[in-house]
Amino acid sequence: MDLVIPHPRGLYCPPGDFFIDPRRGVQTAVITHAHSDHVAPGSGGYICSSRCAPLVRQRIGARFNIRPVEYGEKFRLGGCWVSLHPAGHILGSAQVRIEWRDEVWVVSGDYKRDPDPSCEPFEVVACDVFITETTFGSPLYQWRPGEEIAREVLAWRGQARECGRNCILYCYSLGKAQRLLAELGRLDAGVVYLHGAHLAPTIAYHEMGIPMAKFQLAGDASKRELIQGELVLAPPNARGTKWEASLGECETAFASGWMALANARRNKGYDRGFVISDHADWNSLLRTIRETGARRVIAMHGDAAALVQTLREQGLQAEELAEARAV
Amino acid sequence: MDALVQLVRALEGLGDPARRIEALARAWRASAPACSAWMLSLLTGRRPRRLVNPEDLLPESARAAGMAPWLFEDCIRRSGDIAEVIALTCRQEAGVTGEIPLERWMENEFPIMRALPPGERASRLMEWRRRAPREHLLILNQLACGTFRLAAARNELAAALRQVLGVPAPLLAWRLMQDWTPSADFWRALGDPAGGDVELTRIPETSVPMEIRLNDLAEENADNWQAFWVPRGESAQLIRRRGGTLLWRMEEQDWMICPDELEAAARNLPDRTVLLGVVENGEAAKPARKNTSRKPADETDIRFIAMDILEWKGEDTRLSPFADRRMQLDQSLGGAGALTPQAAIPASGWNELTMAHRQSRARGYRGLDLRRRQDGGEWFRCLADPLVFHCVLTSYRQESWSEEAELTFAVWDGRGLVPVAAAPMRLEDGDGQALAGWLNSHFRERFGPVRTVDAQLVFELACEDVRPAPRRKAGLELVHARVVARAAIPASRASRVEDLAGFLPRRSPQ
Repeated sequence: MDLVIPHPRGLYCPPGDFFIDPRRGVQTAVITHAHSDHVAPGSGGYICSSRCAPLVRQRIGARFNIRPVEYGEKFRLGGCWVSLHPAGHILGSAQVRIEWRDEVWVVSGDYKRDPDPSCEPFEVVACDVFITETTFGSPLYQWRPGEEIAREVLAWRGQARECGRNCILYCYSLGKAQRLLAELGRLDAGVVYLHGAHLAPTIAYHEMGIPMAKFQLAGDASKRELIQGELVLAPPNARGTKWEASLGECETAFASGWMALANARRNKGYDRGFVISDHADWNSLLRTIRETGARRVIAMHGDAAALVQTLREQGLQAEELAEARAV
Repeated sequence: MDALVQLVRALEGLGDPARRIEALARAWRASAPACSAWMLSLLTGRRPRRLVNPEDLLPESARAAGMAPWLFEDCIRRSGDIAEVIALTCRQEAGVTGEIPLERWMENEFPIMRALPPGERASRLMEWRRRAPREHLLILNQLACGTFRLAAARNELAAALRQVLGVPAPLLAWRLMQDWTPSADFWRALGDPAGGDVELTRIPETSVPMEIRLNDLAEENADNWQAFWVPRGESAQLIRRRGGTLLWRMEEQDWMICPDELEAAARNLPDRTVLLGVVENGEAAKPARKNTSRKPADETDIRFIAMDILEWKGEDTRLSPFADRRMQLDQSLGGAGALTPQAAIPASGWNELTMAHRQSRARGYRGLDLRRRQDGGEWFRCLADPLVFHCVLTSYRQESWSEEAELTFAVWDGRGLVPVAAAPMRLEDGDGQALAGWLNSHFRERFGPVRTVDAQLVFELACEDVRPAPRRKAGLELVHARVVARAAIPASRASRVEDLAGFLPRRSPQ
């Protein structure tokens, strides 16, 4: 029997009667991490890692019942033993291990293997069946160390500084921004400015003791001080807004794994692209699947065909997760 | 090589022309002369011929990347460029040699490879990945496969070269027009402030006529002024030096090849003479590139309409009385043929001039020029009243670096709308703001930076002229169009392409 099946509301575990990252309200929701496409308000109870809990609360509000658990702590849901294990995606991100009778399934959630100073490193969890994300399911995507990218960002700022321009680096508010801040902090980058949307998650990271570069709100109306030649992190939806215009003449860039391909860099409309991702690259996907020892692999998110085919050639039982249509 | 890699990366997503020029200049400043010359060669579109057929690379590249052939092909499908796939996926071995200068690749490595039989070239190319840093692989692969594209507009290149080399534009354009092969010596010669061609290509500064309305001069004594017809065409200088004739296109900042007929006509002029004027039907002879095909000169009827003498026998005439210069022009040039003086209007008094002004468009001219007979010849221009058409707004683009949006307007051709003009408009204040709101709510589709909108709004568009434009669907376009006002009529009643075609110039106005 499959311990995890697709359901219109998300991934469902029948013997445990709970959902993983449901898209709508359910009775019991196990949350892998606090990105908006993984947490929806309206559920009766939320279970997530203890460091994920403040971020989930920020996302859905404090009125919901959120139960934080420690990594590795086993708890009972229905007939299953469930535990959460670090996924290395963002702070508090978790894989979900489900044990029922003799079978162990692991749902990876989003994960990466590259070192990241802003979150817990990925933990390999042995299992029979591994449900893996495949956001970047092609050998074209192979990441370089975050530190190298941070050095490139600083070189970019240096160049723009000579011309008195600000650099706006567009990146997602939760996770990517803090990872960049943490990498930049290690390189003594000085003060990095933030768009308002980045502030709350960054403060949450700071309160949980993640060392990061000094940060400050850009365009703080109360201070009205103009910045010049500085690095500003902002969410992609601030592109082309009045806020952007208020920073004067700017250079823009986007930080994402998608920036690996020249076509994406050309078409996204940013001056340049930095290739940095919080998802597993091709080699990490293969390595992780090998290390879990899983005999069956179910791939979800993104274009999984190439990965599934490759795994089959290696003699594994591999399939794409069938999407359940909303009813 | 590093400078080229940086340049490719910098230009990739950059649209702002000023910033592109900055990036080009930065790349050249960071490079040695030979490397700079090769970068210029690539930027001017002189790609090396293809060494390797990308198809031949497939098996070896897949093996080098440790991938099954189907997986490698899947990557190519996603990326669209085998050179990029190889660069992203190949496993690099230890012992990368680091920086190999661009000129060494172009002058040594590629020729060595070209000497190999085609079958061995692919394996040689795959050897490179051991010797070149990963960031260089993409460009090396593209150069070898003949898929290297680095786009920079001609004026961007010229501006950046001027910044780096400090050489005036005409001299630079002249030197680039000659046959050249990239080398350190060529680069040094390109930036040489002295040299035999400095005097040859010197362009005297000219004043431009001030646009006024005829009424503005009503207080003046009409007898002090000489009126001329303003021909259609582009401003140019005709330069007679060292027994040859050169044409400098002032707007494009480039040289034009002088057709034989004009060359023959100009032979009567004394050496070291520069005329200011307009080239008529100049499109046929553009551009001044040796490797582009153009119509033979005798099939075109290019004319140079001389308006003024800037230098005569090596002497600066710009401050001499205008009447003298004009007399000199009349005496030296015939009244017909490829080289003629600007047609004077034998009118006396403002009333007659006003009549002439009204007729200018019908006679095939842009308007009137008025020159003060005495002194240096103060110069005013009264253009014919603008043409006004009702055009439908179909799309717009707003680039982040530009203060003005570019609106595209169309007219009816049968049942469809065909674009005929683009006009700038600020969307930030006043009427523009209201329009911006409308554009947002009527947005239909996006094509890169261009957004199409519902074809509902009609504007009054004023323009100087209608000219043939073979590359436009409509076959014509409006010259210097600007938005006058919103027209409160439905889109179905906007102008038709036939209405515009009626204003197309007839050939050889007389």
